[in-house]
Amino acid sequence: MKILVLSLLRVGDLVQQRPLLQALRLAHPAAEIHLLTNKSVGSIRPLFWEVDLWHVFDRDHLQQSVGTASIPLTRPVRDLEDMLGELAGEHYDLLLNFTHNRLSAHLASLIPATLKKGLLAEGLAFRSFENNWLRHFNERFGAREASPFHYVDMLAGSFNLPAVRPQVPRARGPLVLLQPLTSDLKKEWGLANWRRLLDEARQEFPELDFRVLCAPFEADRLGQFFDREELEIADWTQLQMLLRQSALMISGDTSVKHLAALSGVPVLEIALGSSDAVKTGAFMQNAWIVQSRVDCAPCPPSSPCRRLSHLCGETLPVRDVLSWTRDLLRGKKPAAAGSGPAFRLFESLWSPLLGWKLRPVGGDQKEFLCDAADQILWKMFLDGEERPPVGSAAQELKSLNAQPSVMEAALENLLGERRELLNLFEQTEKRLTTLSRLCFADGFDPVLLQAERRSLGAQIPLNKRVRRHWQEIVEAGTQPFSSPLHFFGAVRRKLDDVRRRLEIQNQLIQQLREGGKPHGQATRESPVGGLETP
Amino acid sequence: MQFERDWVRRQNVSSPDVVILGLGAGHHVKAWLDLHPQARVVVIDTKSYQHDFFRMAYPEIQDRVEIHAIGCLDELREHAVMNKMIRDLPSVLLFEPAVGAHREIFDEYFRLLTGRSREGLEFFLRHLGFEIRQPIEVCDAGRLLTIKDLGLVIDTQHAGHPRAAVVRVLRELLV
Repeated sequence: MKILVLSLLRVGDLVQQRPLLQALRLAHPAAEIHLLTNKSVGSIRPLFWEVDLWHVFDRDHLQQSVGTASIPLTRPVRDLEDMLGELAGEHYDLLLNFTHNRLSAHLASLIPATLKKGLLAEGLAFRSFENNWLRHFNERFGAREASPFHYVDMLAGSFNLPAVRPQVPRARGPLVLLQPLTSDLKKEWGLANWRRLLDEARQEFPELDFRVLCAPFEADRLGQFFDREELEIADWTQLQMLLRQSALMISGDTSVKHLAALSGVPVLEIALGSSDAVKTGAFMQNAWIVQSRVDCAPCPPSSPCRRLSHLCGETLPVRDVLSWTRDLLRGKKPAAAGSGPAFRLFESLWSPLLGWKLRPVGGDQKEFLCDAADQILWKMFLDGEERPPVGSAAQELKSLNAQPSVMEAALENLLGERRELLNLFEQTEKRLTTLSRLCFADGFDPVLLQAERRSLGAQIPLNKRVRRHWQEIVEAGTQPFSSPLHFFGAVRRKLDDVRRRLEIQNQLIQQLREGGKPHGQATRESPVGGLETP
Repeated sequence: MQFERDWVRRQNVSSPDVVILGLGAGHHVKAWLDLHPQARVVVIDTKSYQHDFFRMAYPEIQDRVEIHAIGCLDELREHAVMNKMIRDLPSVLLFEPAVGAHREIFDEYFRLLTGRSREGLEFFLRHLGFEIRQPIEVCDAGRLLTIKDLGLVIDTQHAGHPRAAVVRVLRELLV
């Protein structure tokens, strides 16, 4: 069997995909696994034993050809066909598009394979998604706060791969690695801060060996704050060796951080700017992640900071990072103390039903439980099982917090949110009749239909979890549709999804109230609004 | 020659075998071949009176240069250079100091040779196997066509062609 995986993003994404490639290898031990990647990630190849053969998509060359006026317009067509010719000869049995963008979807359509999974172009359109996860990935994952899942969990669900159990951290030696630079200035804490952190930590832990990681092209920039002998210029293989002797990695949101997490090295991550810790935090258990709480964070990637100064970096004091570093190096859990209004420290946790999740250190545990319940609810919905394991889910939620009072308070919150969502659902269900009349009647009135659409698009709940459930309906009211029929169909479909989530939520709340029976199964027929009277 | 050497260094090409528009005194051609010792170039000018000067000035590079005097667009359409364009798809470089008052005609040559005029694009598409029964619908007035124009032509007139997805991939590279 021959499998091709398309991974045409950056090196950090590829590192995050590695456990999935390992899962693929375990599922198909005798298969030949090929990977199509951008040329720029070639240096990481030696770390990926799961991959039998690498193919190169020379994006830079093609981009140059496409963008240079002196090159005939059809030359890149020939260049790309030459590139693809090699792949066409491989006769793949399975193609997995891990990249999930338009380019990869068109590319996937050009590579012959018996079975293709993931985003795939079919002419001018895109193939419908084979599972709920993939649809959620496509429609929700890119938007802020629209999905509760980590990228790795999202990919595993999308490709029906077994859930990835993240590493548990363990100190492995006397090295402490610092990775101050990232791919984007916005994500950086400031080299002066790193300098102070290094000086003070080194003073407190003279027995440890602190090194500042540096890519060759970063030496000049880092050289302004660090001596040459403090810098560790390492390639990926050397970095892996260093990680095997490390007690801690302190890093911004970088590919190096992902590799440390994958290697089970304790990680303290400083997630600033566009770093979205929920989606791409260090995927391991007990990672410690500080995330800015400035209202614009996480900001959109690939655009400069729109603030007058880099607020999220400036509001994180060195003393706090030093305090957490101290705790971690002494084998203690970092304390919440120091978490100011502008940032918050999180610890990551993982369980099979919940997936990867961030828990605020010393923060509002009721809010955390509500978030966790919502994440489990989404997971059960996306898994699409006829009888979701709500009993086990309730057990798992309870195990996250031993205090009954906190669970009670969380349940109250959940019930309130449920009422709000149910209310929206029922109102919109009623309006569907009006909508159907407007969409299908002979005397079709586009003005009235527009008014209905606008009012749909205007219902934006304030609570972020309710908003997450309702967002697709809001978008149906604001996005263009080719015909009233398409519009009606989209609203109907999205409402059916909300209905299903309400059903699962109802079962989950019932289980939480009743104590949660392990492995309890709910029925498909549970009422949508069955919990309206507490 | 410093100006010509700088011009050569500024050019962004993936292969040094190029078509150069404008011969002038030919110093830039010499500079090109000095910097790319393995290269072979085709030079197109509108007149032939400078060829002898160039041959006398640089006899050592004559076997690596093919010079054509092409007086008008009609002549270029029928010229063997067009076959080379189809076969090798070389980069086309316009050496402005040698163009002088003929800028307009050289611009037309450039657009045809690179497929960046409506006619040029039709020519290349035909050779890529697209059936062009009627003029393609794209406005090229006063500008060079880009991959976005090509994508639009493909999506509106040749959406089902086996090569259409290749163009769509390339278009995404510019987004």
